[in-house]
Amino acid sequence: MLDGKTLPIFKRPICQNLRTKALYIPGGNLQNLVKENPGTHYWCNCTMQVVGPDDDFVSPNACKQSRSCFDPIGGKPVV
Amino acid sequence: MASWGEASQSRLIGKRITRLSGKEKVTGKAKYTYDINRPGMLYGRILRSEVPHATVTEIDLTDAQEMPGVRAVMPLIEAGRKIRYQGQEIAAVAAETDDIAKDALRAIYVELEELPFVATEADAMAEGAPQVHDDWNGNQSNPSRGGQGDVEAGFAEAAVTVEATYHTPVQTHVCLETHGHVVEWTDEQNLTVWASTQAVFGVRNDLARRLELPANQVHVITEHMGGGFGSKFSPGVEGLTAARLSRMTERPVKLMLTRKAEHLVAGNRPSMTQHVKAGATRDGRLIAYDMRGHGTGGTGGGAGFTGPYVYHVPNIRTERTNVAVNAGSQRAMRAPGHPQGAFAMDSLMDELAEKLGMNPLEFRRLNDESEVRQAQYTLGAQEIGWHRRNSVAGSGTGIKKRGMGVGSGQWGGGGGANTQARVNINADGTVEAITGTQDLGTGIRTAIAIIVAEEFGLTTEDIIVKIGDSAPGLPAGGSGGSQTTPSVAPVIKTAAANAKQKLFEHVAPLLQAPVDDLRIGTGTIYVASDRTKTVTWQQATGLLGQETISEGGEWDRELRQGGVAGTQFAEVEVDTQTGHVKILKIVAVQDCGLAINRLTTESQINGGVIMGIGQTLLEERIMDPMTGRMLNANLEDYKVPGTHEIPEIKPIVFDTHRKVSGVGEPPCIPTLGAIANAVYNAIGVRIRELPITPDKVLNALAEKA
Repeated sequence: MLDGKTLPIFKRPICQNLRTKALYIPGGNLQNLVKENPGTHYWCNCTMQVVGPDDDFVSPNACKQSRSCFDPIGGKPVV
Repeated sequence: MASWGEASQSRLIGKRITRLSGKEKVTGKAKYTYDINRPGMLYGRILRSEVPHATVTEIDLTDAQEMPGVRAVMPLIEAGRKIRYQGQEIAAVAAETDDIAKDALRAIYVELEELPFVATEADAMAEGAPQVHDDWNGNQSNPSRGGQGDVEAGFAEAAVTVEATYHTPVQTHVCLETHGHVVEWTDEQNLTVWASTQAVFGVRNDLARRLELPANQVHVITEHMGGGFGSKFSPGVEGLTAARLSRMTERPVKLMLTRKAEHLVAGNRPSMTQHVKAGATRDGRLIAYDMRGHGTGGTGGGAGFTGPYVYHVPNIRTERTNVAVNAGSQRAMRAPGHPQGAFAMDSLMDELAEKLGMNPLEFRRLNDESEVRQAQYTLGAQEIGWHRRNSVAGSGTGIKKRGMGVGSGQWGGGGGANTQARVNINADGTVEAITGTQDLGTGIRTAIAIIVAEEFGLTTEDIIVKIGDSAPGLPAGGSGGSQTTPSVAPVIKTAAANAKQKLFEHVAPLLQAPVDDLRIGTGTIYVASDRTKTVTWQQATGLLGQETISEGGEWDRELRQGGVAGTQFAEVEVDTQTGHVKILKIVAVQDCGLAINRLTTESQINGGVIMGIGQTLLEERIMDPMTGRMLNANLEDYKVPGTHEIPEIKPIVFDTHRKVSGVGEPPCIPTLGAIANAVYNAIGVRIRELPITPDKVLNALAEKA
């Protein structure tokens, strides 16, 4: 677990359950979850669907810390 | 600098090599996930919603749980949650037989409060339509805008303009092997999964995380798989459900999607509607392009498409939106966004060329900055006999009229790092190449064997290729984006080169020669400066004693290159009495970089063209606006190309350089525009909405008359 509030490469925390195809293929990485691409498909690894455990849609913009299911990469911030 | 060497020096690379798994596949010996049966295995089934939008008010599993032969029943949605599309998962069962599992689904009591829905884009965009996303306006996402230059100034310069609307419908992936898994817990903490997947390690990692297991305790196997086309990267609901049912019952569980579910929930290519205005100067230069477009990716977003495409336009304005409907979500599908956009752009190019009075091929030449495609235009035109094309569209005589068209495409496919592989040389002379990639049917297994065999002077049959298995702990990326070969091949190449070097170190003392004076012959190692000093491969490896050479490799970017261009020419015959379009020939000129195996590369091209034919002439997800259900969720009413629809295809592997590129996706891109333009050239009526079915042809001809 990181002792900082966010991973240094990201401006904001990213949910570790957010998925998009680019994560799976060579050359892709977590940067593909930083900025929303309106032309691509996102899903949640908890539900395996386009909505998260809270039944709301998922995407880089939609998966925010305020959601009850948000699970940041690196674990919850250490206060 | 690493290289693949000169073509003239290659014994295997670039030649036509029969795929290693070919015999197994045609004899039925090859085991796909669908074929896996484990001792004591149960059959999993999923109960799905038949309504497109509802709130679940009650689920009662009791009757199903009490049925003889039923071993587990589990809900997949809670009361109070929403159903958003037909096919959404409600509950799952595991039973002793598949028939019992099907019966058990019927015994599950579900109460739904049905809600208003939108099944089509037109309904979704209508005023007052029920909303799929609470935060979208009129079921449309915020527009995504782009552009460059000054569009108004461009149109002021234009001598001709075309305004048109082009549409492609939703297309489903139609993987011949449906999505699914066979799952077996070897103990409480170790899971083995046979998965029909494009990403062995992706499935491993996702399941491990979801089931709270260490990643190395999930073992994923994909020996053979029957098509994914972008839809099989994650375990999906069905994979996770199979694992849970297996854990509940402590028995292996097989859960494969039905054909109907495959259509409804396993992904699709989004639709596209483009309203375009474009202009060209009198001398044939594209000058302005203004496009507003939308598409639907179902309940989610992601309906991306290209536009403009391939050809250079200095002044551009674009606006795209996603439209949400109550239908299964899209997933990446072979060249996401490109075939749709290419169809629109290539149709537009022909319409502009006609207004200018130019040959559409010459118009393309003027606006295409790709030197590769310029050469491909020449080659393809010769091969199809472009000079035979109607100079005036529809000018042929008789009931059956022939025409020709051209289309273009562009793709990346340069690969990426993070593939791990090992090449082992054993003392008995056997050679193993091991990596965690998977063969979707594209031929990477054979390509690996070719690379290693070339390096060692052996035959492909001498190489034992171990892929599609996470157990060796050699991760490789998922097979998508046409990235597999350019990602895997450089690593295998360098691993083999490293292993060869180690073997040379063992052999050098025997041959009394320095290592750098040793060379590989056919089944031999010899001294370059004295060819009389030679050992056979077996003699050389025998020097290893109890040792095994095991070397890894690096992803050397000098061995691969992205950016492939393609063009295709089509000749069609249209029956003006029945509206039937018969494709006579497709010439597909495809930039492939270095084709490791020319035979499987041609197969890739053939497959892409066939998929493009389906999208152009046959395939369409038909939604019933009254019920919100898909009307053709089968393979009787959802047509894919069969032997009657597949024409003579001339794949031309267009060698451009000696670096590896991926070609899984690009050959399906230019087909749509080439066929649509050929139909126009045959009958003189433009059909701007795919698929080009007989009713559309006849209606268009009637309107013209």
